[in-house]
Amino acid sequence: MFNLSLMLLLLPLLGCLFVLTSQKKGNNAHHVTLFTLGSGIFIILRLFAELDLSQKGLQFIHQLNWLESANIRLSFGFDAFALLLLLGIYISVLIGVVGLDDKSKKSKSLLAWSLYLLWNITGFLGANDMFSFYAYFAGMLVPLFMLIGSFSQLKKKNTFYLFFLFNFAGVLILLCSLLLVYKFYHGNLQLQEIALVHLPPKVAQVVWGGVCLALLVRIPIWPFHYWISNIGSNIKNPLVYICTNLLPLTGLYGFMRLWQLTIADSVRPYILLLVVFCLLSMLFIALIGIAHKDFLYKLFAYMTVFYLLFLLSEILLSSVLLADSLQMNIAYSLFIFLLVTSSLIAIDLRLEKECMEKNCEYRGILAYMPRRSKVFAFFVLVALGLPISSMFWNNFIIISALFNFNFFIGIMVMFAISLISVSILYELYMMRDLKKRATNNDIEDISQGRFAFFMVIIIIIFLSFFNPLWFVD
Amino acid sequence: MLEHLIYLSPLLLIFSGIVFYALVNFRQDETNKCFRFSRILLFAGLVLNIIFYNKPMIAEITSANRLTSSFVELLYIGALLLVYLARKWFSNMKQSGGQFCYMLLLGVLAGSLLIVSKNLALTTATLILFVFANYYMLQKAVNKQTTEIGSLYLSAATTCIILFMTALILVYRACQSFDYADISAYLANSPHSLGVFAIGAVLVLGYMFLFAAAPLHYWLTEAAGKMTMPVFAYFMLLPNIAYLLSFIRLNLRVLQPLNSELQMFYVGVAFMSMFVGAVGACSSQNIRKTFAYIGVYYIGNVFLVLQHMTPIAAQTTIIYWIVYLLAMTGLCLTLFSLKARGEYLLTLNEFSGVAYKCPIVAITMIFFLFSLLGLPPFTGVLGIFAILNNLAAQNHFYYLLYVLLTLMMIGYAYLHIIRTLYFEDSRNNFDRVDLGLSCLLIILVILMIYLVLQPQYLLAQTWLFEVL
Repeated sequence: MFNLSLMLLLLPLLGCLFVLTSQKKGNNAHHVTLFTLGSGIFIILRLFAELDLSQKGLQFIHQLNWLESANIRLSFGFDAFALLLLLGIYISVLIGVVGLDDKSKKSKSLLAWSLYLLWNITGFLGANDMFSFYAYFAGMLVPLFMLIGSFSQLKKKNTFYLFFLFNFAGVLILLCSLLLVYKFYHGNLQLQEIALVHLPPKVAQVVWGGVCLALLVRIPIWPFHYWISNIGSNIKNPLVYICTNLLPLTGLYGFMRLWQLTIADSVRPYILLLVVFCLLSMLFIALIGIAHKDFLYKLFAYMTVFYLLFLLSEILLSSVLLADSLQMNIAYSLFIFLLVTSSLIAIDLRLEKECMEKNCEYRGILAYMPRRSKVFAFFVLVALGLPISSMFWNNFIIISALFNFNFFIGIMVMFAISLISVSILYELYMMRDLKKRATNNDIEDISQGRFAFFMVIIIIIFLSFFNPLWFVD
Repeated sequence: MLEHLIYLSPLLLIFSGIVFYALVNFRQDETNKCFRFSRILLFAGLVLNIIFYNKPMIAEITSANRLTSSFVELLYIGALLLVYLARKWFSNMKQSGGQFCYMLLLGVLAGSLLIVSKNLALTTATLILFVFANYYMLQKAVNKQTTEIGSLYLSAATTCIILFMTALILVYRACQSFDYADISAYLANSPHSLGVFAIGAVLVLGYMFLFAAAPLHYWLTEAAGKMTMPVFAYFMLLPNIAYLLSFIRLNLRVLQPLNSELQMFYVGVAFMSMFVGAVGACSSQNIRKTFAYIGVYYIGNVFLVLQHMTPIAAQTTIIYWIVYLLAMTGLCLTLFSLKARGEYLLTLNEFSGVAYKCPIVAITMIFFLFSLLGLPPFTGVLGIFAILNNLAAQNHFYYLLYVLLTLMMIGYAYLHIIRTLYFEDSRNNFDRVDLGLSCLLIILVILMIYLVLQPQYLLAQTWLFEVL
């Protein structure tokens, strides 16, 4: 069975090589990308079918003796949590690829760098040892830098230098922390073994504090939020936008993997500070979301609030709820969250582009486009927590537990979520408001093919309401 | 006697080539037969070196083991590559490459002797030979500012050599021998006075100058911007192969007793070189100058690790340096590959939009730059891993922090180059990339990827400890 997991680990890289060598004429690169993503989804589903959900820990373990003399043995494996996130990521990227315009579909570099990023994310989610965890964590930077630089309006600004250097600092901090572990352990550790390494208390604080900091750099929490908000508002390509917004997810994933094992004990004196930063960031970004008139920025604010909610719940609730059940709750939520936000990004960016090209009014624009309006409204309502997806149940559990843990924190979280929800809902209302529109628009509705694609996503989301892992049973 | 002559044959071959060049005037040779001749000599020398890899040329003053022979072979391979590249350049410029070949062979001769030397007098002699070859290269390389840069180099080099020879004479007066082992024994047994420290420092100073470590970096960084391409590639690659091993051997075999005295001196040089290298690379608009500053930065790292003159530190340095040399070779190849209307590119602005016209060169350049930055999965991660691991193992956490800070600074310079290559619109009409150079670039990338996949060929060489 491990061959299938190995295939999953290598598939995006192979796809990337095929894209690079594909002919320029036609949409060959686009087709190769679609095939790669489709195959990846198929392999994930197949792995899910073989997964023993009652078993704890990673399964389908594949080991590789990378450097025997230094005791560095790489290890990969997947569990339900990693596979579910990976499935969400693959579908998100697929949504991004489907949402590309005809010109972008022909861009080999866009598709190749996206698949290269996907390879790194797959490796990161499958990493079962410290060295590969670091290697893939750092490896994501290069494709993202190239994607942001090539396909955003940031190339003339210094923000994307800041993005790279911020994240590069995080990578170096992680490397140093791991080297300190290596110094005491003299070998590559498997992730589940790191709790067994006995470091002197001060060293442990430095090491795990460093790891925590490295992961936090990727999550848009104050003061690390600056780069991502700047970048988010300058990207107009759906695939690049989706890829960029996967970066906080990797930070969150690393946090969730390591928090309970080691970080929590070592950074205990600073947990309160972290919680305060989380809450303040949530509130501020929600308020900024209200102030902005751009739907995409509101969506970015929404995503940030929810990433921070998941982070907060991991920090506070991991000692209250069962670790595995909390992880799976977050994973179910994240899966739908990825699908919904990616779909909204793909639909909105295309709409914005068409509006800009034809210089037409943005308000009330959906009133004349029934297909686009239907899917857009559905995704917005799911995002806001309408009980039609598993996101509703799982967020309900998480927020209830937060209320139970500390009423004040619960109120703050609810306030931030309500603010951003109202803001997005208002935007949807404005986009559908017929009164605001004097004339009919020239923009065409989404094609039937695209509508069918989004309907499939809607069905996946809807079925998850009854059972988040319906495709397993 | 015959046996010794046979072991000396690679050197004799190169020497005969040099004599031949001196006697036969190749200067006006525009058919560039000199390159073919040099290639044959170097290839034959390489083969003979492989055959007699463990046979010392002159047992009294040279040593031969797997490490020295590997470096000598590396030197010959580097020289062969340079001949190949230089031929393209001289043909393109319609100039004779006779003098370049002459000096290249002289550099190979000096480098081979420097690598195997275990005698301070021989080391000094070969360093003088190197200085001569370098000076002559500089004279031919720098077009208009010949006198200024050449004179600067010559005066600084002469000062260093005079100091080096003074140290040599003082050492000889004290221990009546030039042998590394005897000098080391003398340094170990003598009281550690200011004079002894001065001897050690002067010996290191000579290497600092040749390596272009800060504050003696000026000659390389200033000249690099004005050099011709083959000479630039020569300075960035060939001498550095020989200097490093010679410097490591000097540290481990001679200066080890002075380790505690010299440690802070090394750290000072390292800090200065890293800072100067990082700042210089960020501020320079001339691509060759930027690469020269990158070289200064890497030398700083070498000094930082070699502050502990132990075999582990030496092994770390060798790993780091090989990774650096591979990436720098790649960058030199990319510079040779890019031309606009027959002219080689010099300033960073000229590289705007290379990715659109020459995608293979641009992507390989990115590969080498990220490799130098030490990001996984590029080969540079092995070098960075070795260096940082060494510093962490020695509990030098503040040094480690400094390395990270300067690495971020130099990262800015790499990003600036990448931005120009990829994210700016094309302003130049780039010429078609030479097929041979493209193949070489791809081979180098494959080699570097292979090293990442099979790192034991680089990292797990336990025999290095024995020979070091």
